[in-house]
Amino acid sequence: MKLTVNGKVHQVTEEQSRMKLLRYLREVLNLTGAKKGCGIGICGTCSVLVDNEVKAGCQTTVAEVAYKEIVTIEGFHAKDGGLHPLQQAFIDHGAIQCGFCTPGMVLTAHAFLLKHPNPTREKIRSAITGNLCRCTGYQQIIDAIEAAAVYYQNVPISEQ
Amino acid sequence: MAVKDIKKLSLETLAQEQQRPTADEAIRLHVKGESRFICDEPKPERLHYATVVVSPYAHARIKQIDAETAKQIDGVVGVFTWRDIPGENELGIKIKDEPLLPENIVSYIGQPVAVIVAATPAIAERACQAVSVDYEVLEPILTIERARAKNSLLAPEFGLSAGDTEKGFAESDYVLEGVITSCAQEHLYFETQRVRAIPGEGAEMLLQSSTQSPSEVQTLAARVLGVDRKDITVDVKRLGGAFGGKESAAGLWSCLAALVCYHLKLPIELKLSREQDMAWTGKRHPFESSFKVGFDKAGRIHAYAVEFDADGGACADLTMAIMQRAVLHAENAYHIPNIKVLARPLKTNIAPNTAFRGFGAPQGVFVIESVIQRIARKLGKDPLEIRKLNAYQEQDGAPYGQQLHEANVLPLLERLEEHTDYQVLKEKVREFNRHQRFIKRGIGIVPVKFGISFTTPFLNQGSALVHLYADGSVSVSHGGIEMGQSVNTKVARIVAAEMGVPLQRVKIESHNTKRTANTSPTAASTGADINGNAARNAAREIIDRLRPLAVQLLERKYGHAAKRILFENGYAFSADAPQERLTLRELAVQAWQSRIDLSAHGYYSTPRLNFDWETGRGTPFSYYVYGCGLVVAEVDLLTGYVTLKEAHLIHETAQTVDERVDRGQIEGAFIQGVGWCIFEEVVYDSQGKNLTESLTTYKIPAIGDIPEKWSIEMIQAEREFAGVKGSKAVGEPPFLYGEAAFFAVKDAIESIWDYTIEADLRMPATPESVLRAIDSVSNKRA
Repeated sequence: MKLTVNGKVHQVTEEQSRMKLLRYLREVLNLTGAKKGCGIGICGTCSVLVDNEVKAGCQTTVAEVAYKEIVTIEGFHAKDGGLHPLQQAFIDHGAIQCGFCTPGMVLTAHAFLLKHPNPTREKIRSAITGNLCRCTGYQQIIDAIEAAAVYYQNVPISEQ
Repeated sequence: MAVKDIKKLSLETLAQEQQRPTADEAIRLHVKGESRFICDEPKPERLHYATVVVSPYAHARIKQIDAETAKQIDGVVGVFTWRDIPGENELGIKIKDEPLLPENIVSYIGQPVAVIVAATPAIAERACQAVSVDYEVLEPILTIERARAKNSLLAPEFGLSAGDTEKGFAESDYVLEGVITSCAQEHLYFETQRVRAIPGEGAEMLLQSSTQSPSEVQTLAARVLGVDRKDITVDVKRLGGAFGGKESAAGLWSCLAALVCYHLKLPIELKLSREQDMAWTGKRHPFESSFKVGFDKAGRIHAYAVEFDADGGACADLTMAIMQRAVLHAENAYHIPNIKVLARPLKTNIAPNTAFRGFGAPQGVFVIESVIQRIARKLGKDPLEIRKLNAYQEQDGAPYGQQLHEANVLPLLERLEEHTDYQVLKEKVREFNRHQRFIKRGIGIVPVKFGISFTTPFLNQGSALVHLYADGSVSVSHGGIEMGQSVNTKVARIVAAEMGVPLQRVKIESHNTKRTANTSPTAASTGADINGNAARNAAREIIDRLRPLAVQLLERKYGHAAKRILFENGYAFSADAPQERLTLRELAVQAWQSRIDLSAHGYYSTPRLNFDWETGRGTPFSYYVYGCGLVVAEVDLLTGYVTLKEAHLIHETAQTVDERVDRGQIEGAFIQGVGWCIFEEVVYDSQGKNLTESLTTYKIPAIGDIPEKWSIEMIQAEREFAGVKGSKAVGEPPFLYGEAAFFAVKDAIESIWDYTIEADLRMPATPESVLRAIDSVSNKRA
């Protein structure tokens, strides 16, 4: 079985295929960006992208996503390898406090903006409803996503 | 290397960097998923996993622990109990009532009785099930009522008073009495309790602990192991949230890991799952408070007597300090001439309740604010009018004798009134309610006066270690812990400004007990004040050592006398000739080669503090933070569901070190306060078991719960009494604005019968609680 994570193909053993994706990423691939928050798929802290759809890493087995494209926060960046405008927006708007929920929050926002590059604040709220944050009042997260939308409106999808 | 060869930073680049609201490097790492939390570091070789066997009973006697079966499981390397503790079996700091592992009596569900170490977490968990503990079950005390009846105390009751309350009641037109309850709250820091213990050579041990109190963890680990503190190093890079829940509560888990590491000489990881963390650890203290208030026809309070009963849980932990803060905030923002406050720290058989943002102040303030609401109801007046009438004036004194200085409660309330167009807003809400049968709206307002400083005076000290490297970059270690409040960003800004270096050239290191020692917990909103000031002192000392050399070098380079040397944007220059300058880099190299010390330890102790609980008099606070909040809530009477329509917060930050950070603190604290008041409910069953041990049964505010319309005004005016660089602490005070949401919900419910009947709304105002309150009003009418 094969798994593509951040563009790199990994051979998955039988035992690994039964692991939860979050554990596989963290313990086998040492990608610790995705965090375990609640372990039951509610908080969104372990969110990763599977073919550009948000999945809870703690609720998904490796076998379920075999042969699909997985993107974790470590593989999310601008084309030149620098900060993606969405990441920069999170920084500029103070959308990060302890940082624990940030990777899941950024990836969820990205998947949303790919589909909805012209969101209202109301739409942003409903898109992020599955990602909890205990530090912020969410307002600065909404600000960041709203600001980053401009980029998604102006750059072709293939470039995003 | 010749001075002239050193590459100069271009002023243009610097200017651009200054324009963009810069963040410290760690924020960039967070957004890339590269920041490492405790246990994210690559695994050390032979890492083993510890897990704990906990008490299933709230109160019981341990008759026997049989771990033989567990020890036989393949992969298990050890099972440890109190017998294996080489030092003192005690975690209590002031009151010694908390064993690391109990010898005889377990006093709450979730209390560890044995530690198991295995090659994998799964084996360790399996082995836990194989340990058989024989208990004799004892009767537990599980409620405040029962603890009071049994006189079950963690420490003697205490309090303070001013004036003569009996005389005050006698002179009042009205006297009201009642009981106000406030609820527990789960911290729900996203990063659960965790630690890695790594053995070194000889007695050395490194603890990478998720703690707000590294020095306390060091002290406790040394105590239970019977070694010196010098042998234990605690290193903390950052926490994934804490909110008080890792102040004293982290000690237990760190010491358990240290204990097994000591015996096995293996690197150990101990990490709680979400369910374990929620089920086993202490919460915000629930309070049950009985009050008596006397006031005149206008609504002016003449006397207030209040008794706080707090559920402290099974051991003292920080309960005394938390109740002290409740006592010192009993009058909140109001001048009450005759006041008497009593605190009863009750002992029950639930996990030791502990520090949580606000630290008793939210509980104390909730009582007086509820009392104000009742006074207004009694007199048929607007609660805002009662608040304004009793608000502290500029030079009033607090009940404990501290002069308030710059007390601006009234101007802030008036500003809020003006900003929200309060009378119009109120009329709009009433108009809405007249036309809606099943949806009602209400308004709540809460002003805040929050005292800054640890109420234990000696804790008000900070320290830092600053190195200027010969390339002009700067390393800062300080006594604070970064846990999302951006103390590192603030300290970096302070040092960068003091040394005149770009922010990007300042690195904030992990907190390490070898670099900063005897530090206070990062708590009480003081982190940036005490450690920022300490770092500033260290930075200033280094710069002062560089000044004479800068004069020499500037004179040599430009051929005329340099006078007042300024350090800005990576340059040193004479104030009268800013274009003739040295880079900090060339200056640092020259200083190093001239054998000038480029490192400094900085220290700060908050001046003027003293407080004596014997007399109940003194100056416990360095200054106060003032503000006020207004919330408009909408209640669906059929479902009990609450929506926040509007929130308006006016908060005094004084001269903020970082506006964006402070804004984030105000928003986050407010929402957490809203969570405490209307969303979050901790439920125990009749045996003391926590039934709300996951996110399926415990709700924290989500993005859809924030106010639809939300304004925050930061008052940045200069204050004589403030913290580091004229700023004011911001971590806890805005939490209290959340109480306005509770009063807004109550107001909405009471509109059902045109405000003629008081609804018995209990905290938290969850849908269930709202429906019960509506029923209670209906029943009263029936």
